[in-house]
Amino acid sequence: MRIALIGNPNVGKSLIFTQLTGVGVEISNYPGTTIAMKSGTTCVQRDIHELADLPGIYTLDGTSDEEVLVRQEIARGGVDAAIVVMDATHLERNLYLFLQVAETGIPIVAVVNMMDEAEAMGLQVDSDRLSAILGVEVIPAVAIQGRNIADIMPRATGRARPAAVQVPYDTDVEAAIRSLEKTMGATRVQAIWALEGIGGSPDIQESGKLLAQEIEPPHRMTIHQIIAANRHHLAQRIAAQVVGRGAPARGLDLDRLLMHAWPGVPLLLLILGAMLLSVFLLGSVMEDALTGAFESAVLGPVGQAGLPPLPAALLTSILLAVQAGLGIAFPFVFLFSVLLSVLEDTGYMTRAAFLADRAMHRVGMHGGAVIPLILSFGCNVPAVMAMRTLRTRRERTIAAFLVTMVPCSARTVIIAGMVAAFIGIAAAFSVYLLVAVFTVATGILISRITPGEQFGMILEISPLRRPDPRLVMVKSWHRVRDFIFLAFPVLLVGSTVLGLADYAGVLALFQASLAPFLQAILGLPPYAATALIFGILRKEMAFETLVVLAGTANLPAVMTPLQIYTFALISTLFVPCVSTIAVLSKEVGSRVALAVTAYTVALGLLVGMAIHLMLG
Amino acid sequence: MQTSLREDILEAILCLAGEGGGPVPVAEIAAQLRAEAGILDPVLAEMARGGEVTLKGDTATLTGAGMDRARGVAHRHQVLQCFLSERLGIDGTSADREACRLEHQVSDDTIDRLSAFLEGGGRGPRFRGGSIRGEGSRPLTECAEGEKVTVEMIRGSHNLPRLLDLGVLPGEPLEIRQRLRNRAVVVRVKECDIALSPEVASSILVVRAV
Repeated sequence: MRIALIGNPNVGKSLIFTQLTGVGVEISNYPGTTIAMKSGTTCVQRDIHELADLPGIYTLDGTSDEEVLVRQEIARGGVDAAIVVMDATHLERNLYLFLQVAETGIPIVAVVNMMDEAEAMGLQVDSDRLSAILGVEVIPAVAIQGRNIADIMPRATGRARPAAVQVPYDTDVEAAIRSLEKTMGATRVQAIWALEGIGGSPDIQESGKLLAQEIEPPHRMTIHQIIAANRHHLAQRIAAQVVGRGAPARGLDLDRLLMHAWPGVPLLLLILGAMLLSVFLLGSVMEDALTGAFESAVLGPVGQAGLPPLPAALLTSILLAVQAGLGIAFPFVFLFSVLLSVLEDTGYMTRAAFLADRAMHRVGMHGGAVIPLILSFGCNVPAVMAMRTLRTRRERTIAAFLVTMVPCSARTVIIAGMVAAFIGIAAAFSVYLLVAVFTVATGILISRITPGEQFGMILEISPLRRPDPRLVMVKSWHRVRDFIFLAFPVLLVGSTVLGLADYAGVLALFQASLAPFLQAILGLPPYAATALIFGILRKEMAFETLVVLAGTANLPAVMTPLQIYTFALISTLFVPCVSTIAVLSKEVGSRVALAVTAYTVALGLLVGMAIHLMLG
Repeated sequence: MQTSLREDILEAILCLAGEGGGPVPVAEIAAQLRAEAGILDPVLAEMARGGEVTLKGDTATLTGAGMDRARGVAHRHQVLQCFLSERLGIDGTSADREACRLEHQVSDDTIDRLSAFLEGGGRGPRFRGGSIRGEGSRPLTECAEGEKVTVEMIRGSHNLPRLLDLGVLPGEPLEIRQRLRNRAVVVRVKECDIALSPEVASSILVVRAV
């Protein structure tokens, strides 16, 4: 049996999914055109069932990628039973989607999650009454505590049934549905979707369109408005019958502080600044300890083992790559992930989006774009994926440029490891400042020349919650794991190729050919060229390669402070890594990905040149 | 100018002769239009060549085509005058005069929509409860924090689908939770807080909740 979790965004579907599929269960990613649906297996009474976590949606009849994906999954018969997850605190709005899923006729069990939060707000949800009205089993649950989660799968596999509740539409719409059912042999849901112009065979859809044109003028509303109003109306009536309102426990309204320009905006800047600074300082200390330990425990003994030259060169490059990877993954990626997860789980991100709406308009986007921008401090790859929440291609194109310019944790390594370590913390922050200036300038420029319309932000503010430390750690661990899987192969292959090239003398040739250019234009030593090129593969390799090629970790011995600063700034401006380029071309197309890569590389070289010419 | 004078003449003949279309003395038409008879003669002659009127001596009669066109003009005049006086509160004489000017430029589609709007009691699509008379609707961006309002209509179409999904539709009560100086707002709808950019908020017209 294939069972799917369906529900509004942010109702706890993924949490339930993780709990149901559990440890040791295979979780795979099915890449769609632009969105992925997670799928896993779970065992009920010795039968294995497939469970799919569908993306969160507000409606089944929309045209966004997520909505189309869910609708098609249902229409193609890919869902044998649906677990419709609803948020007890927003039951009415969640019922709107439930009614649409009910219309499709697939067997359903309903989960009303976040019962604890509803109780805290003084709401009592009568799940028996709800079950009687909807005609399906209703499981009241608290996913975060695991309450009643064990009930879900047995009921979904054994007792899911098509819902009895049916939206009574406007008489004209009902007449049109009946006519489509009779004349074209359409099912009720096919008829409704045909009227909305989103489904059914071409001839059913054609008739639906004609009927819709007849219905609209006397109502002076579009067919979508009529249908939506009817559904909302029923949802409202059901919610009124099952939700009891007691006295809400009124606590401190934090939003009065968080969501006003004062002190909200200073707080936002403070939070971001504190996050950067703590990763910066803590990360450097942790990295030193980690790489130092690796050096004395592994690299040192291997160097003294007296292996023949070729294996020794190979092994050393591989171990160097592992060291670089570990040095970044744990201190920087992990720290960022923990802090970002905390920010995400509190619900602060949507508030930041609201506050930043005005600033984002200046660079051609809306407040929602702030979420990928903040995420990109951790790693650009998930940030690029988070750009899906931006609704227009124009906004995604602008965001693609800006997100890739934000210094990710790997670039933080370069800034911390080179500039802060050898020049000073003020110089390190000047790199951030310069990058910020270039990012804003780029945003203004790109928003001027990118064609397309700009729509505003319509964003649901998520409730404020205290993050669960366990969930934060799990999420951070998953991100570090993803990073290791993504980064290590590239690091290993790159490092090995580099080691081999050095051994074969190719590297010397390559450096010799680029040396005059680098020396004259950027004022950098020849070996820095190779390091910069490898920096495009993976950012942390730029630093790593530089150290290997310079033959010493004590860079001031071989480079002037200005050279170190220039190198760090150029690598920071360069596109972060091949993984980012790959995910960019998947999300916004290869042309934009290419443009972003070319632009950042050109910008880096130009800025390097300017610094050399002015100060060198 | 020429077109509007011709339409005025057609309208005047219809008004004086009723559904019969004539014959009407040219002098009477001139009096109705407050114009000198001499000015009308060349225009009437041209209209006769165009097949809109037939001239016999000092009188003019509408042809079939002329009658159709005259009815169209009269309908536009009626709808506009009704809108101006009933809805905008302009006094009868001024409304009549304004309608005379507007009727020549306005498209049939606008007249159809305006007419439908008037038939609906002057209410926007699906307006529930309360009349807009006395208190005008205003965009959400103009509302104060903490104010409780009811959605009257949503302008523009590109934001419509997502707003519909979230339950922002005509008749829905909203509460303004936060408002920034740049007019971005957070509204509470169906127990959920939704943040809206200024351009989205300004497309939502609301009236004070009753």
